[in-house]
Amino acid sequence: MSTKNSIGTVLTEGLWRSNPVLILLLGMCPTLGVTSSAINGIGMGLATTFVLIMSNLVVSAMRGIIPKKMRIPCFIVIIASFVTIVEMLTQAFTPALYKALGVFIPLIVVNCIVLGRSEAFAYKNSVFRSLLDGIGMGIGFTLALGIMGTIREILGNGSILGNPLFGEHFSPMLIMIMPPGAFLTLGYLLGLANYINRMRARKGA
Amino acid sequence: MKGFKDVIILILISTISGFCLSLVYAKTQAKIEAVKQESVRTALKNVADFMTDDPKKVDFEFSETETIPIYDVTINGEHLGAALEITTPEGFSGNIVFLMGVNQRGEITGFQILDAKETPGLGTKAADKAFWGQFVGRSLDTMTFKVKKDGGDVDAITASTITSRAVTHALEKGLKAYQAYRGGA
Amino acid sequence: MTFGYMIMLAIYAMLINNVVLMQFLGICPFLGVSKKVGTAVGMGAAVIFVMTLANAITWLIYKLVLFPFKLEFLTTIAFILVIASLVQFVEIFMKKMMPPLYQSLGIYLPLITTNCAILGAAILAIQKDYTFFESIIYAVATSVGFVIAIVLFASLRERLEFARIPTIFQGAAISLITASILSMAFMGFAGLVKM
Repeated sequence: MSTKNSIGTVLTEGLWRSNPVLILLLGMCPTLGVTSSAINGIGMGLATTFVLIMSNLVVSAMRGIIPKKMRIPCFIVIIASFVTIVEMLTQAFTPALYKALGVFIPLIVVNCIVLGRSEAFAYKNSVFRSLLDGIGMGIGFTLALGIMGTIREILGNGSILGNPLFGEHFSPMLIMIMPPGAFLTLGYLLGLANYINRMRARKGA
Repeated sequence: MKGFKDVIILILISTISGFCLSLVYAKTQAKIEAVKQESVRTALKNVADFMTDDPKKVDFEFSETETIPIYDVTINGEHLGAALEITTPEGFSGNIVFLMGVNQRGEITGFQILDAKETPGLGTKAADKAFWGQFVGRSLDTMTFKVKKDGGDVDAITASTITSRAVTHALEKGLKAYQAYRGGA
Repeated sequence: MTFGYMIMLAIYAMLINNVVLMQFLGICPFLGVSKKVGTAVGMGAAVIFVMTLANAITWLIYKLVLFPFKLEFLTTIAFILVIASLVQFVEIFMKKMMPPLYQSLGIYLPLITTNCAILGAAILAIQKDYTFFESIIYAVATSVGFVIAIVLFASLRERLEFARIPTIFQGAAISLITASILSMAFMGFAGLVKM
């Protein structure tokens, strides 16, 4: 579908028009699971972006070799390798983030965005375009997680990136950093995304 | 024949990625170990200002069912104190594991939670100095280790009495373990 | 391991630490296949089946192969391959041996490979250092927790069909807000047993 798009569109597609979280509703598990603070959300987003870019690159570079029938297992092996690399790197260099993200780092493997982009884009496009697609989708994902994390951290903990905002006597809405808050925030964000899209459609019409 | 070739390619890809992974693993492993040790060392230093770089680790049998890891600090034969790793099952939603420092007079010098599943924002406040600061400098002789509601000296965390009780009780246990350890040493 | 401990582990995995509503694993099928109670039950049954098998096999692979040979860094890659091939195998086996069961569960099987609850439960059982038996109980309880959540949610969504919802919230948005309230209800189980 996007094979004829210009390079600029490939890059920006993931930011809004096909934003993996807000529009395509993919990768919901980490979106809900790790966004109790902005830094965790952004960290998760960057880890996924790395896997997305690298697996897109490798899949598109090897698209002539990977047999059509066996493509899904091949994708899974490639993705799982990069996920393991991310796992080891975060453990070595950002241990606090590794602890906060927990089981969601190995679970990048089953994040539908990564496998979805390998299948729908990288397997059919050049290395360069796949790189751009990986970057665009990754940033879109990171952005969505960052927004989720920021909203939940401000409301649920009264801080932004760990810096207290409202002084000592502010009593935060704890529920926002607990599981129900995750569902609630994402629900309202999706509503907002729908609203913005409707406004844009109306302007365009 | 074609299916055979496909399988060979999959195996080839798996082998190559396995090989790459073992390379990265070899590179990062030393660093991961160092980070782990460093975090233990930092935690130990946080709870006890007399901590050295290589305390003697003793698995102290406090009771028949409970073994408490004790990091004993002894310099040139003089005992300065110790850090104890205490686990209490009395938390609101499971085990609380923490480190506490005790000096040679049996007074608490510091406290740091290593692992807990308490309610975010309520029970997790046990990790704040506002709560555990009240224990610093106290010993079994100078404090009744019970929350005020139960007739003791401890200010409980608002809305988290169970967590406060668990930590208070566990600290008392730690001090007793330290006494027993010193008595036996 | 006492009987009481088993019950506690089961309650913990099923209700208190519910896989969907508290741990956010398996959100995709939770939102995707919950429009009708019937399909939700079907998906749930398939998850119970695969999760239990997957936990048993991954536990054995970890303890018999990966751990003794110091290959822990291959855990993720090994587990996902095992789960993917297990799903394929179950599909073929069911088609041949149990056609009626395949008729009812077959369509959900391919979707399960990318259900992160399966891989998540397998990895968590290893991380928590469960014994083989504990790991099985954990898997059964976790998947039953999944069924409870998805069936409750599907019932709510069937009712939502008749409600008048602001247009921008229709679809996924209102579902998530509903899930939020359900999750809040499940928070009431906290402290029921201690693990």
